[in-house]
Formats: sequence, structure tokens, C-alpha cells
Amino acid sequence: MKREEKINDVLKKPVGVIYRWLGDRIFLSAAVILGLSIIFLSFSMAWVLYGEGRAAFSEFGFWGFLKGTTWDPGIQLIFGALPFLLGTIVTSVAALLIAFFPAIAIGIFIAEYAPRWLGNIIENLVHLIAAIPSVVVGIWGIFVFAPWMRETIYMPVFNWATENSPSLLPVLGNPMGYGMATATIVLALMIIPFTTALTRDAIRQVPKEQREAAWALGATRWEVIRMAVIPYARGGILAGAILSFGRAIGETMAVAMLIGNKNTFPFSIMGPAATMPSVIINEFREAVGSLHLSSLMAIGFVLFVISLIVNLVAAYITRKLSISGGQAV
Amino acid sequence: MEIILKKKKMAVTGLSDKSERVKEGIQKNGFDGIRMETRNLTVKYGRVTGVKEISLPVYNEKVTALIGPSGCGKTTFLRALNRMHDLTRNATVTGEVLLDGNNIYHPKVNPVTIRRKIGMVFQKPTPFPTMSIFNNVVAGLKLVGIRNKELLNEVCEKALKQAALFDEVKDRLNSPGGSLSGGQQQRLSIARALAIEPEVLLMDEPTSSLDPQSSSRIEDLIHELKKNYAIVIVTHNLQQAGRVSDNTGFFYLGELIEFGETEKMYTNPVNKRTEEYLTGKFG
Repeated sequence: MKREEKINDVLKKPVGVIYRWLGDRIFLSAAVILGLSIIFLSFSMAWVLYGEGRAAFSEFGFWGFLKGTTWDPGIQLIFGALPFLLGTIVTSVAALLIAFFPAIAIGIFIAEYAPRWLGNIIENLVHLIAAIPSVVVGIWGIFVFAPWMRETIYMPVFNWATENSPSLLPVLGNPMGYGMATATIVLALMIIPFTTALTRDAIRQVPKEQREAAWALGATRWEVIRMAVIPYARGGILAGAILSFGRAIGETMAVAMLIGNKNTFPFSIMGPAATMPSVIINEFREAVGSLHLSSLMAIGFVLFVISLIVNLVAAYITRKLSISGGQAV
Repeated sequence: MEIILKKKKMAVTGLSDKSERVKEGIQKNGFDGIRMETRNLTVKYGRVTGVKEISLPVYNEKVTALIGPSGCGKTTFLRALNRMHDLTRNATVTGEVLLDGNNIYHPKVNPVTIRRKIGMVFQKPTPFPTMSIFNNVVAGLKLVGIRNKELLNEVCEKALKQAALFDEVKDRLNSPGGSLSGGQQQRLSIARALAIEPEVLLMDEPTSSLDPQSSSRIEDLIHELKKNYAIVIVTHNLQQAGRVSDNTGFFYLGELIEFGETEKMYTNPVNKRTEEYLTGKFG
């Protein structure tokens, strides 16, 4: 048989019609089911958290629970989430404020200034830092960072305040090293890699033509970055910062290890505090009373909703500020 | 600062001292209307040669077209004329590029000032999408520190008029540059390049991403602009080169095969390869 005929034979061979018909449908149904299951999963998570926390919500009222300042699982059995809500928001916002500009500067350095080899090294190190398990960061914080902060910053400040203006002492708080400030700084260190990586990605997306247009007008390097690169990448940079903020809100282990875990107001700068994730992880094992457990679940639900909002805001900003085809949309 | 302001004012009010400077330059250098000139210009990317030993004059108040098949080095050559290769990794430029007799690759020359003197328009329209039309046009002036609102307004209007865009956008100077159509965006890019009053205008296939109507508007524009500028235009379109240019350089495989008056080259090319390219035998 000739070669062409052989090929023709193979081509003419009846194709597995059923096989193709079935294959198509199997793949389609698998994809649809898996895709829908994500929606189902997220809603059922929220539903379970809400359902389990309903006892707390009905006992104290939804806003009453959020506004309550007392968290006493021992004697009074009163549960209010405000200390944790505020603790989370203050530490996360402060961490973002600390991390934002350094992270963007590092991102710009990697993408624009560094020679390629140096940029690659820094970039890989940034990814490496981002991959450190947060419990390891927590251990480092407990044994290295917190004692160092106590000796070099908190104690001198505290001693100075004792002598010169004792009225500051309640604001500063207990200088033991484990507290709000320590947790915030470590949190900032933990989100810098994320913001950096997302900033760098956003900057890499800026088309070469935009940069060249600025160069051709006689812009210097910094002027090119200011005129063409940052405006073009602003959506990605901001969205990256907000996603990092979301991570800071949800960060559990390192914060729980370093924040000192004090469940009641008032908070102070150096003194202990607590966040929503930290109180959940600290008290879950000991939550014997059903109202206590329900309150922790309720905090989990609030945390879920806040994270959802943060992510939606990030998505909205990306869409609002992103630029496609040379057009601001 | 004051000098720049004064220069800009003179330019705006039509009292440009540029023609004087050109005449001086010509007298000083003894060139007959040559504004720019390359001498043995070679550009290499790593070990690969982009263009090899190009010597080519750019005449004042004339349009010089660079033609040739894809990958022949026309754009590489054009980008060497305002030191854009400084920004390309591992690109090296040897030889000389003279602007009014001065080598722009001299180590003491600042490439930023060179790019202000030699404007460039790119293949794709490149308005800054977050800036308004007005800010797009005056972006280059703001870079040199001009903040005088009145002056910026004057320059903006003049540049937009030169680019034949003013009537279409005069009522919405504050809307974003990205909101214009492709052809308008390209004329905006041209206006932006003209606003800084360059001495030479480089155009890298300025019409290749535009529809025929916008293209012909830009060709008309080039006709107008050549009264004031030396223009170098890279084009894929032989008819376009024939319509707009006074001189043509034919590039092939990184070398300048033939250079001469467009009319002569189109009717009676000296080199056999040029003839083959012009008659469509390859390319």
C-alpha cells in the first residue's frame, strides 16, 4: 500500500463519535461543577460562620456585639468584639502606612533602576521573604525582635517619659516588648514583599511605548517614572497595597505571638492588645461555654466580611484605574 | 529659566530665532542646508549588527524618507538619531551623528537635552492616558520647568494648530488624551513633540496604525511641517514615501544601498536592488 493511501485510511477511519460526544460533555460538566462549587463554598462558609455565631449576635445584638467593649469569658460571660475590631484595624492600617512607600520604592528599584542581575536577586529574595511561614516570623519576633525593641527603644522612651512627662505613660503603655507597636512593625515587614511584588508586576505592565514617549520628550529617568510609569501603573500599585492590607488583616500566627493578647480596653502604643484572628486562635481550645464559642465564630464571620470587602475594593480600584489600549477606563 | 522662557515666548509670538540659528550653523559649518548628518554610524545589539556604517545627510526644510523591507534597520537608524539606543540594553552605537556640526554622541553631551532638540513620533500613538489633552501637549514644557499658565496655553494652542488638531479638541482640552480616536491621538503625539520646538522631527512609521483618512491628514501635516523643520520619516509605504519626501534612503540588510532625491530614485534608481524593491520584486 502506498503511503498516501495509508494516511487516507487512517483519516477515513470512523471517529469515535460517542467518545467525542461524551468527552465534550464530561469536560463541560466537570468545569461547570467545579466553577460553581467555588461560589457554593464561599457562601456556605459565610453561612456556617454566621449560623454558628448567631447565638452571640442574638444575645448582644449585631451592632451591640460589634460595639461591645467587654470580653469576659470567665465570669460575666459578656462578649464584645470592639477591642479586636479596633486592634485589627489599627495594626493593619499602621502596617500598611509603614510598608507602602518602602515597598513601592523597592518595586520601582527592581523594575526600573537595578541592572537585571541585581533586580533578579532582589526579586527572588523578596519572594523568599514572602514565603517564610508566619510562625517562623513569630519565633524570630519573640526571641530577637521584641527583646531588641524593648532594650533599644521601649525602655529608653519609657524611662524618659517617667522622668519628664508622666502623663504620657498611659498612652505609651507597658514596655515589655510584646504589644501593638511590635506586632505592627512585624506585620509591616511581612506585607512589604507582597506590595513590592505586586508593584513590580504593575510596573512591568507599562508598555515600552509609554516610557519611550517620555524619553523622547527629554525626560530624565525619574521624570519618566513620574510621568509615564507611575500614572500607568497606579491601579495595579493601589490594588496591590489593598490586597496586602487584606493579608495584614488576616495575619494570625505572628501577630498572636507578638501582640501580647490583652482582650480589654484601653490599648496603648507599646502595651499588649489583640486582633480578631489572634483572639480566635488563642481562645478556641478553651472555649467551653457555647456562647464563648459562638462569639468566636461571630468574630470569624465579621473577619470574613471585612476581608471580602477589602478584596472587592481592590478589584474595584483595579478596574476603575486600570488602563487598557492606551485609554484610561 | 529666563532664557528658556524668552526663547519660548519668541517661538510663540512667531519671532523665532531658529531660522537665524540655522543660517549661522550653515555658514559656520559650510553645509548646504544640511541639518543633521551621520558619519559611519553603526549600531549593534550585542554582537548582531543592526545597521552598518551609514553616512547620510538630513536637509533642513526637507523630508527625508527611509524605506526598505522589514528588518532592514531603518528604525534602528532612526532611533540612533536622538540617542534612544542609550535606553536599549546591550545596544552600542559607534560613528558620529552631527546636529549642526556637533556630534551628539560626544561624551560631554547630555542625551536628555539632545532628545529635547530632536523630537520623535512613534508608530503607535502614545498619549499619556491619565493626562488631559492640554497636559499631554505641554508635558515636555513642564519638564523644563515652565509653569506660566498663559505661556503654556499659547504653546498648547500653537502646537495643536500645527498638528491640525486644534479645531477638533479646542472645547475639551481637559478631557483625557486617551479619549481621542487613533488618528487624533497620533496628531496629539505630534503636537506634543512640536510643543517643545525641536529642531529636527523624527517619525517612525507614523501612519502605520491609522486608517487611510487619518494617514492622509498626517501626510498633509508633514507637508506643512517641513516648512519649519527637518523631518526624517521611516515608512513601509512606498507610495507614502514618494508623496511626502524630498530625499529617500533605501536600506537593505542593515546597509544604506542608495540615497538621493526621491523623484530621481523612483524614476531612475542607480542600484539594481533599489529598482527591484521599488518595482515590488522583493520586500
